[in-house]
Amino acid sequence: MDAVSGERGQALVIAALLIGIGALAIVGLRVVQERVLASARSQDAGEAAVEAAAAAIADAYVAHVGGLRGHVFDVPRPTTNVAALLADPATREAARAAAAETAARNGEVFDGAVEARCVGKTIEIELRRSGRVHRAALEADACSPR
Amino acid sequence: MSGDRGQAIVEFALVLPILLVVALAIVLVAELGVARLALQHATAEAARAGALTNDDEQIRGTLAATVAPLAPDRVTSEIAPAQSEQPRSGDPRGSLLTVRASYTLPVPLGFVGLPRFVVTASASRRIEWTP
Repeated sequence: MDAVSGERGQALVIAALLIGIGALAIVGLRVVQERVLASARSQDAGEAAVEAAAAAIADAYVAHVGGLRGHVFDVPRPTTNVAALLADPATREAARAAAAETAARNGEVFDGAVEARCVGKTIEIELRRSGRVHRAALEADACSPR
Repeated sequence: MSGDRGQAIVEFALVLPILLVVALAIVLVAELGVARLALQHATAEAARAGALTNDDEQIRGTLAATVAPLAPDRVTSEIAPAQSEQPRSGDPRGSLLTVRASYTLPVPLGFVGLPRFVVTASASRRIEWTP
């Protein structure tokens, strides 16, 4: 029996192959897990950021509507202008800052812009981050004044 | 004693423990992945519940309810800031709430000295609740 055609050590060779395949499986599993987890973290951070932006816009909206109540008997009566409120740089910056702070606390970076617009009787907020779009909406009757 | 009879079974017996360890490692890595993902999801849901209610009991309840398939009794959590501290004890709207959780993975054969694996996750949300 020479070294090539002999049967001795066959099981050892097969075992070495199986161990190699096992090690490859472990590395592959780890790589896939890291990707899935990074994606989940990014999604969670984006959702938290758009919720924070929506809350900041809601605060600005409530302050805007509340500010008009004090002048309800004025002539002419003041009217709400939600579109102007949403376009106001101060409102946009407050929403962007809230989104950036929340994203940072969740270990992600947000340096884009927050878009907000009236659609029917809701304010829709949209945030783009890492190729993903995150949306939130809040009820705002003053978007469609009667 | 120079025959080849039984050599395969002897070789197999030699490598079997190594194969079992590799199989165990694959299962452990897969379980770690499941635990990390489940804990990440649970902390995000718990932080969201905290943002809406500002209530530690609700936060812990949400964490326990959403941490499946992990055992809730193996999960420890930490909420910052505490409910008794400012700004949560006053008007916390606009401040950030963070929920951290850790889970100790039950390791088979842990009694022979295999290390314990602890998985951690955290999530933060802006508090929307008003008193």
